[in-house]
Amino acid sequence: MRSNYLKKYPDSDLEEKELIQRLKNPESKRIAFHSLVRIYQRKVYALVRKMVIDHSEADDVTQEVFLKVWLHLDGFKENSRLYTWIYRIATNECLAYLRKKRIRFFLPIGDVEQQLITSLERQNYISGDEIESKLQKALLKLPDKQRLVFNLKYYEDLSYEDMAEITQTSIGALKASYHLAVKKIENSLMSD
Amino acid sequence: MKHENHSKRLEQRERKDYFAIPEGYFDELPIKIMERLPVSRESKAWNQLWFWQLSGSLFLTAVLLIGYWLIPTQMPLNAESLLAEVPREAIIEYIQNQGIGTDEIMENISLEEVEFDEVYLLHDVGPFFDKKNIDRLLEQYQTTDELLQ
Repeated sequence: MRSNYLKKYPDSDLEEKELIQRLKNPESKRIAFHSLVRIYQRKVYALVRKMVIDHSEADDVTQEVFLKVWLHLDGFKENSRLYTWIYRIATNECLAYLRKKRIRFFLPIGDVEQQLITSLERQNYISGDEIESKLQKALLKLPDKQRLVFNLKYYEDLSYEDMAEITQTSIGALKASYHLAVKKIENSLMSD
Repeated sequence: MKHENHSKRLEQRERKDYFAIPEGYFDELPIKIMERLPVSRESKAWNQLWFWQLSGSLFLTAVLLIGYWLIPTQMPLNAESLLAEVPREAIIEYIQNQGIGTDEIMENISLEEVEFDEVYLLHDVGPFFDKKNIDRLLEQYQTTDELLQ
């Protein structure tokens, strides 16, 4: 099933082109941007939350994503779709945030994983599914970029073409990364 | 083959929202983001224009006030100075036209402050101010005629 909900706007009747036109117009820019935030906030937050785990950190990163969207709106080229452009900013922001976190606390990769797992265990969950919990922990053992690829494919249900546009990576490399991630997760789930 | 099985098993799983989100979070998030947006260039330009316009107005006002205080004014400011510029004939004519009597004039004059020229002026007011009347007035106001010499 393809992610058709991303091509249309679930919360608005505005078509993407119309929204972009309003974003380019200085008079309607702020109102249009408010619509954009309302349309994409849940998707961006979900993507960020899966990467940084903690809600308050996800909140900060999500806000930064939309601020960057605002700052770079004038540079948006209409040859790419709005949602892939926003996702690209979001993925870059997540990876940069995790990288900075390691640098700031001089943390080795293993310690960051452990910190994320601890954070994961502290969270309130909607799902009480034990396997889902194990899946989330297994995901945290993956390298950040591989985890990102898995999340985009598995949870966001994006096509490899869109993922290639978002991550600026070849489709072949993405397929390999995803399948490797799946294998690691399955092994992790079976070993527990 | 095993790899495909792994994929299938994961693919077959129902994807759930795992993380709980605080209630009302997505109602507040757009507000928080909109509040953090930087001021647009247009607004900034308008603010700068407004600043320079206000500065210019304040500077002009300051210059005018300083000029008002520092430059000595040539304009007479009190009634006596203004009256001094009016020709004597014009004042006499005005008094006659207004029907103001001598008694009324005298009641409003303090002879202690009146100089000779001003008393002498009374001789021109009319036939009433002859020697006899002047003497009577001098007696009434207890003064001498030295001022009239």
